[in-house]
Amino acid sequence: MKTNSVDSLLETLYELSGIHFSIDNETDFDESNVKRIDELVTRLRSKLSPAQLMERYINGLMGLDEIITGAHDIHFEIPPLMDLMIISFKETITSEAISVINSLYDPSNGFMFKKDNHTCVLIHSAFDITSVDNYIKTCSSIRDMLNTEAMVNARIAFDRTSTLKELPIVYQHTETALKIGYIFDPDKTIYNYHNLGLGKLLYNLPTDVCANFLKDSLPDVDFSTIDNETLNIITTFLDNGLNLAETARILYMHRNTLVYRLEKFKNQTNLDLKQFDDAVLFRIGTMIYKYLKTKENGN
Amino acid sequence: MANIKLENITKVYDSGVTAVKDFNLDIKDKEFIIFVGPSGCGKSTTLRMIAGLEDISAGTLKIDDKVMNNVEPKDRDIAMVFQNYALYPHMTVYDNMAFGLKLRKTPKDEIDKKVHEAAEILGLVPYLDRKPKALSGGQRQRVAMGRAIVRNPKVFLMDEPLSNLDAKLRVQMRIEISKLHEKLGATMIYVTHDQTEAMTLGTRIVVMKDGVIQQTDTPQNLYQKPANLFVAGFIGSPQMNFVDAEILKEGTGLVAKVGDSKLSIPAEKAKALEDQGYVGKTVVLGIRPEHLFDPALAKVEGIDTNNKISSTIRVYELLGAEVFLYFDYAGTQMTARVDPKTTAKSGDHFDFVLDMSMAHFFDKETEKTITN
Repeated sequence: MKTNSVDSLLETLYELSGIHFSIDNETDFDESNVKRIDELVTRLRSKLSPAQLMERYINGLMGLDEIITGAHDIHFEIPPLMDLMIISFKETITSEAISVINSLYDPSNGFMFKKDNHTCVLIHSAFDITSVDNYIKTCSSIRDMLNTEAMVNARIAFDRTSTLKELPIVYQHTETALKIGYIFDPDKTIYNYHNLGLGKLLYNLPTDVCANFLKDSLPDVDFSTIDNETLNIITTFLDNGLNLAETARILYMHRNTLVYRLEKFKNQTNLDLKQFDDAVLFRIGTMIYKYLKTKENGN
Repeated sequence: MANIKLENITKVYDSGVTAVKDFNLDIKDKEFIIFVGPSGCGKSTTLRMIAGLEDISAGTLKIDDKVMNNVEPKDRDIAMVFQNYALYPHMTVYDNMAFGLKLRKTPKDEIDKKVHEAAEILGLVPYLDRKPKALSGGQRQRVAMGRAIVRNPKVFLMDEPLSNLDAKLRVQMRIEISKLHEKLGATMIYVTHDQTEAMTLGTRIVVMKDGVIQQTDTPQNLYQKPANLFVAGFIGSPQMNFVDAEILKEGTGLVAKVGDSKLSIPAEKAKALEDQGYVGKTVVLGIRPEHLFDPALAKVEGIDTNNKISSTIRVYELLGAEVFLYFDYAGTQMTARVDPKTTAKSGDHFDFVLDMSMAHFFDKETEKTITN
């Protein structure tokens, strides 16, 4: 049994190995033989792709020694320091998006692989990133390029610059950052593993513990009825260290109006947000509410 | 041709947070409209909904009377320029500008024609062979704009495109964007948090807060007739002074009692206050810093010097053509912008004359204007 597909496989085998193979017409050649050639081609192909080597390594399918040997076999020089970013798309990744990402780096310094139909991983020899701000700026640039050139929305998560040895853990952190960021800051598009705050803690709590906390500690607060304006005022007040003057300035609001709004909220919920303990309680409550709501929506 | 109509547009994120609420706006063909407001007010979200980068939770978006809610972003004939004007580092200016067209499989000669046309408009012809590294910040931003122009879209969306530039360059680029709008004759929507940028660029401005439109008007009307306390405070720098005032009847007219001063309210404003039942109630009085005068200079301007408040000047700031005086009155920090001829100095106990014909009155609860 010799078909066109076998010819094509043999041709590929020659391209990958530089060795000519042929099948004697007399040989008993069946499906299992085709499968074995196909596997050989796949193995050779994977050997030639640094991206595939990295994908296996960060997913724990290959050890440190193996990737070093594998990289050596294909004459691929692993950069001493690398940056890893996970880019997540709401829709299926388009060819335009892949083209944009591939054009962002010099192919000899980086590579990208698809994690699934909505996510891809970009690994690059360390960008010239010296601070978290620069990391955010780099991620923002990638996001904006995807927005403007490929017309797709993207969220990007990052951890830190790492060595090859640290890369699998950095990958895990980055994945976690994307999940937690999406729950607690869904309106943001850039997530830093080291800036997930309380979200990192709450994410690891069972949902029933969270639900009970809301019931027990904040019985008078119905988070579903708090309007956006009130929430924005409170968030700004909390973000500014419970400073009335500063909050009023940022919100372009009269100080007395702010005091009136906080009093009104106190009458409705029994929470005096000018008190540190109540403010913390409300902050945690809001986050838990978001977390439970996201879980409820099946995300 | 690109009229854009946003009808009752609402955006609710998966977490339940409402980012934009019941947004209604008609944008005319070739109009240059600005969305302005503080961070988190929903202006960028609205822009992204127009672009198709965010789903619309409720309401209808129409471009040229065609419903666009479910049209793919790339099929909306829109181009965007964002704050982070990243350029492909390994490509020349030409290739950077051509990249989007290549992605869309545009024929080579057409790409060449469009890139050269855009480069001409933006003054980038001498730089077409350069790499981004060899360009200044302003030139890079122009390349980013060039990438949008080559597409020849119906609508340009700009999200804080000048935020990464220094102050001097921002002013230059502002002028260039204005000229660009005239040259291209396309509909432009420009998002900024900077009220100066908004006031100088737009023919119409949409002021937003908490996902809600506060006022849509010309720059002049926003400044002179703010619809509410927020707009009054947001537009203008230094911002409008606000102080609680009790409205009292005195003789045939009304006065505003502020601290220990009584300020006569001009007849037209008094009528509005009286008709709406504010006599005997406390309202918020708003007065812009330039409507507070040094008494000696107020006389020259023909302003009633009886309407005055007294306080000690905390800070004297000479800016050359004007002087800012900072002081506290009735528990509020206030600013006066006066002529440098003033004799006022830091630490002086000073009278400030208020031009009450320029005063604004706002309801304390609803924060809406009473007299505009």
